[in-house]
Amino acid sequence: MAETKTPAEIAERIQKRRVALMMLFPILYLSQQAPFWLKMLSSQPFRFVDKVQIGAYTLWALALLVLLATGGGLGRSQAVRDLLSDESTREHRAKAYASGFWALILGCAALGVASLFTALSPLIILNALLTLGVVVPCLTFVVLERRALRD
Amino acid sequence: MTEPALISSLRELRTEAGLTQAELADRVGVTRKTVNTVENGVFIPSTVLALKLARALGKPVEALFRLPD
Repeated sequence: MAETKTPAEIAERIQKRRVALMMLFPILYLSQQAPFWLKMLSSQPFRFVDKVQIGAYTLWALALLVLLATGGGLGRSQAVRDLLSDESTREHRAKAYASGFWALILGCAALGVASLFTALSPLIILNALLTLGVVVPCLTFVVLERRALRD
Repeated sequence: MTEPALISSLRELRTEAGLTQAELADRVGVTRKTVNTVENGVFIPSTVLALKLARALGKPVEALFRLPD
């Protein structure tokens, strides 16, 4: 007979997987952006394939934000999803959003200063801010969740 | 080291009641992680959660949590 797991057991397993994914995905997201930044630095024109890649970064960023906002567990029961967004998770999420806010403000200030010395294309500004706005909250959330899961 | 904003006796009272973190979490509808963070003083629970924890352990909420002197 198949062993049935309780919502709490399922939620705990998803929680751990969520932390692992949310640590791995932003790192992959950053590493996948290397070609974009190399191209920007070399001032080569964008080909169609580069534009598709930039669109893919945006979709990836949105997927990370959805994971952060919903807590995961899509397709699971309401009980499991409630546990995946329980009180401490909601607090961690709020702190993660706050860290993203500060990262964006500081990023805007840094880009503002940089624009005094060099011309910045809208694509650079967009990608830099999107990266900050996604990666910083995700990694903040991961740090808080990992600390919370530690006994 | 800074003093915690809330002193919790949750771990002692839970152990006294013979419950695991997972069992207590199940009774109050949160994950084991949340109970763990409350016990470790990392997370200050909401009033509702504090009252649920107190009810689950059959103790007044003041027995679980107190402010530092």
